[in-house]
Amino acid sequence: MNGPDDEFDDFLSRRKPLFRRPADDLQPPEEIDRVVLRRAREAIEIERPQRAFRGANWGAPLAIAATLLVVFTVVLHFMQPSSKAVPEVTVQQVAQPVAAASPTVTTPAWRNDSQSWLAQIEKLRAAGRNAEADAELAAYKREHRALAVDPNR
Amino acid sequence: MNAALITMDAATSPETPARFAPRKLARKVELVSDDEDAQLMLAYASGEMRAFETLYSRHRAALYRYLVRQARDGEIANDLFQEVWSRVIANRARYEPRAKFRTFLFTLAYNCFIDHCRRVKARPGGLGIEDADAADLLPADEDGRPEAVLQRDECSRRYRAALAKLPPEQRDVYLLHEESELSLEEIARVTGVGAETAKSRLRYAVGKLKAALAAAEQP
Repeated sequence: MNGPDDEFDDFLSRRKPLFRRPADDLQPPEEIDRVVLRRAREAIEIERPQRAFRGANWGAPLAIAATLLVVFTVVLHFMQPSSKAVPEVTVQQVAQPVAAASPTVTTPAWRNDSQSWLAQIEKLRAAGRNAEADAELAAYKREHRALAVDPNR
Repeated sequence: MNAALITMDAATSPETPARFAPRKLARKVELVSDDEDAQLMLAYASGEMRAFETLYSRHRAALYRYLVRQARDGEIANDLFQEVWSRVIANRARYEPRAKFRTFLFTLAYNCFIDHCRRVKARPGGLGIEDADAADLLPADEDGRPEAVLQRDECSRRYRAALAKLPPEQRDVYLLHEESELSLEEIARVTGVGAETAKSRLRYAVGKLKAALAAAEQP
């Protein structure tokens, strides 16, 4: 049987075309091809940076590690035994107290000459200032002993 | 509503919120292991531009022919063509391959064309197209004799006249059958009618076109 129904069924199942179709060269313009492909590319390129930001799996561990490192360093710093701070010593700092503590002491003129020194001791004794006389005598003896030890003086 | 319609609804409404959360690629591929185009679409959705290029090269010509024959205006067809692909791009994240990609694509095309008709409040009629492609449906005649050329032109004119006179519903079904190569069930799904209705419309369309061509071939 080869009725209209069979013919239509053949058409439906594409076994027998109703119209013989030569090669169909109807194509979209190249400009439209470029526009569509550009849109498609732009769509996924816009998406990529967002994905990279969202999907940075290493970002969180890195941040945690950095934080831990900073905390550990700070804790370690404060747990170290505190060494006493050594003040900086300068020439000025040393010189000022020494100058303040030792006012200029002028040696009496009679100490420059042993005869005068001994005469002064006698004067002190005569005046009853025996303690001063003894101190001067002791000083006299130290001085002259030192001279005996150090011949260069 | 079946799964295919859900996919198509999501695809045709790019402005609507993402009602259908994208699933993992492995799950999607499992759903459509027999549709390579769907896998390409998923690959594009995951950022592979080359997948889109392959997909585009496969379907661009058929989609363009469909739109040119529907709109019968080159400029409108160009606009609709870009709009369809823009919707494909916009819906890449929501795409769920529960139907063939070709069905998805021609559903978009059909809806874009219907939206266009609503905007202009009319469907194209008459012979507004300078469509040399309509002649491609005629019996091939490579003979360059003037009489043969005249006869082919006459056949082409009759064919276009018959196509233009078809009721829009019949023309929709016929063009979807010819250009998208979808099955009758898929065409019914795209146009939102039952399979029997689609078959009936196609039968009427084919009968009218065949009669028009038969009349043109008579000396």
